[in-house]
Amino acid sequence: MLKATLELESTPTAKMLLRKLAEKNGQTLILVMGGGCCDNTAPQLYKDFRTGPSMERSGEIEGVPVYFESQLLRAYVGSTFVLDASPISGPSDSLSLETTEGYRFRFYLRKQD
Amino acid sequence: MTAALQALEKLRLPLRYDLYVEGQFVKSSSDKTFTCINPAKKTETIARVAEANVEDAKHAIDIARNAFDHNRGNWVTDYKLREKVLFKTGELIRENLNYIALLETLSSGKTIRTSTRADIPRTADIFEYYAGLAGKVHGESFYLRNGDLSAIVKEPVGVVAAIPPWNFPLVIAARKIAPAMAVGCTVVVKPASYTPFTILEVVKIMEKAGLPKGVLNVVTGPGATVGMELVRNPKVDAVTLTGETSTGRMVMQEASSSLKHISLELGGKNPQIVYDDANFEEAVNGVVFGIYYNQGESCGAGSRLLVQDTIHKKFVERVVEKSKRIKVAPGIREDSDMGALISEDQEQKVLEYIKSGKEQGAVLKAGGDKLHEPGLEDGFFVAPTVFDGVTRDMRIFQEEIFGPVLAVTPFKTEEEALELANDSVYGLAAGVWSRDPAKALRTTRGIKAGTVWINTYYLSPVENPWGGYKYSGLGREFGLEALDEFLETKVVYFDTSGAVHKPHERLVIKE
Repeated sequence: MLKATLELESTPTAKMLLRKLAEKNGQTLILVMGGGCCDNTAPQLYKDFRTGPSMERSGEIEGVPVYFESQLLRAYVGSTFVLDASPISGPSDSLSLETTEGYRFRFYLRKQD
Repeated sequence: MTAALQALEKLRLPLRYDLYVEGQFVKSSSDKTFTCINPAKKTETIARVAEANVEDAKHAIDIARNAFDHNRGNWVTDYKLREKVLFKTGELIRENLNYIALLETLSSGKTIRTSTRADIPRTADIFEYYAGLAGKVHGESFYLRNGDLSAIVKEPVGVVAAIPPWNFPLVIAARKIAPAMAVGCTVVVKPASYTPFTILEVVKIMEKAGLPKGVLNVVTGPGATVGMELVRNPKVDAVTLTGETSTGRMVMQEASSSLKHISLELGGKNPQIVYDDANFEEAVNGVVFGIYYNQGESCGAGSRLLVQDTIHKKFVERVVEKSKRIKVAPGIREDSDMGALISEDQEQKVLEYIKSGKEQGAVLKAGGDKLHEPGLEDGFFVAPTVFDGVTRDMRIFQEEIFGPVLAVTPFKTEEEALELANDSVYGLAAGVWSRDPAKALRTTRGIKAGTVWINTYYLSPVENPWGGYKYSGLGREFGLEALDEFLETKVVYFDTSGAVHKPHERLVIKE
């Protein structure tokens, strides 16, 4: 399975945000890798998101399940996905929940050794 | 000095914009504001804009609801009024074209040539086209077999929430607002936060055109609060969004709680298929235009070049040659072919994709860097970039970059071209280049996309419905089809027999 070859990591800021938002929103948070248009590929944190059959669970970060579109996941094989977050200065148009805390999730990929 | 630069010198920056609710420009209830910068010169603040919160969004929705339910200014019923307001709006946009174009370029980074010659005239086109349709949505009537009369009446759905993106701020706002307004809906718009104020300039124009109070309202603010309120609020009847795919899915999910009409345009990774019998130079120009127009920040960008192996090398060389000639400069300059990306965040994402292309084994043939030349150092400029040898397992083949990065993949046969073209979660648009009409049409039929251009690219006149297959969205904008997104159908069944006992009643009543 492809998902076995993708590793997930996160920075302390990303971890802090996930913990804080889980406390506020309960245990139904899901992190999905959205794609396309003006936000292109970016982590999106939603409450009660219905993933559907085209998405694959890649693991979890701080207890929050992480989902990718199966078709896109194949391009991530052999990488470590690192979830990060940085402060935003103005309003974000994303519906992702961390924006309500003044942050936006980012990610970067590291080649696995 | 060009007209745009002269106009810029007269502007007193930063400009100030408030929310527009019930025919008035008002501060947000929190009195908070946010700043919009010039992406070509990040130290320059273009505008301070009121930042709405959930309460402001609720208030705007209430106003739009009230305007619809009470037929404010006869908006819902008087199609002649709607026609006049929308047509006059188009006319006044043309009269103020240079000023609006300047603001569009300053906030979005796009070139002034694009704003002046494409975006703003197209915005006027959209208002005028739908003005012309305001009085022509009639439904139909006919006699049934039993002689009774059926009248199929079209009625406006009600309150529409419109959420456009930042890449074509006015064109996309207009393509949501104008058809909704043409059929008698009232609207709340939440523009993108990088580019929120040109729609507010259009609102000023619409007031002069006779827009009744409460019919169109604008709330500027965050997606997760203001945007989500527009999507969830049960007083909203329809949502039209252009944005990212998971956002679209979330909008659909949230809107399902009150069964709203939904229209979504969610992105693309569009193939340009070039056969070896294409007019070589014509196809080169179409491919170069298709990727660098609007800095590649377009769902319609032709970001995957699929080129037949027999001409592959020569074709890529020519595309690279022309890519290197693209003049990257602040959009305000008349000689700029490609302007700044919208933000530092977007620039970083594009550079990250370029890095992934290199790491995953694609061959960089042009560009690949942020540009630091004098005049570009304060903006978000990335060089026109071409990658050859791209395979379907690479991120730059699969993911929408929304930047000036072309991914080239050679193919041998017609079948392989189609297979590669459709190997995407998206299905928004495609280009086919060939002198063989039969082959071009076979390919067109096989492509799963909402628009296929043959021997041209990107033309999307208001008459043509625009939207996608697969994860590129749901519903259509533009054309006559856009009206359907904002209409309900009511059947009026009229008995013409006058019979006291109607035949079907015998199922229950014996005599």
